[in-house]
Amino acid sequence: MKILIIQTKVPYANWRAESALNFIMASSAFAEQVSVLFSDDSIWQLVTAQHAEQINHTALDKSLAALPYYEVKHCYVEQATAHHYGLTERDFYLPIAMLDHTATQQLITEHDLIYHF
Amino acid sequence: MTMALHILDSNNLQTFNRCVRCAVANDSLLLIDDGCYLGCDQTLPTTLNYFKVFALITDVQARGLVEKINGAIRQIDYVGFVDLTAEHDKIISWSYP
Repeated sequence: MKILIIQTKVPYANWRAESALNFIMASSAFAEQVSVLFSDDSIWQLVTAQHAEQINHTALDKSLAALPYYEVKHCYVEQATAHHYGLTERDFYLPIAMLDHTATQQLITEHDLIYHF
Repeated sequence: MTMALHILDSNNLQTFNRCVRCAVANDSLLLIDDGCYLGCDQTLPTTLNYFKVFALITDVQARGLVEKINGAIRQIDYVGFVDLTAEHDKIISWSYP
């Protein structure tokens, strides 16, 4: 079974991003493959040089950086969103693949279960 | 002439546009919390030029935006925040939701 988690939220606005992370880690224990699409503003979860301690928040980036150790090795961002914010692969601390619109549609068809956070 | 300080705490574009519609030249715009992400939006520089724009450095650092935020935006600390509130005649907080 292949699971795709679609993230949409910025890291520190509420607990959505953290809940998604917990779900990713839990599902990685039983799924054949877990992939994560960082859609829209959730792209900001991936940028380097975050200092969540400045706003007394748990460091989400440190946990996300551990995803490859949970066998979560397929992370994607939408090219259009990255372009919109002037972000490139070098701005991210995880190896990610950039997807255009068609590739995003393809990604969804390739997975059996899709969860949207 | 009265000057207003607009404080934006989210990256919600609808809220941002509402704020811009209500603001006049010489007003100041302060980005705090997730509002700081707007400072990295490549489609907004022209709109941002309309104001004096500031961002709270604590929130900028927390989100990893120090190098990514528009260079024209002045990054200020909490003391600067207090100064801004004292310098302006009125303060409008555009909270979301």
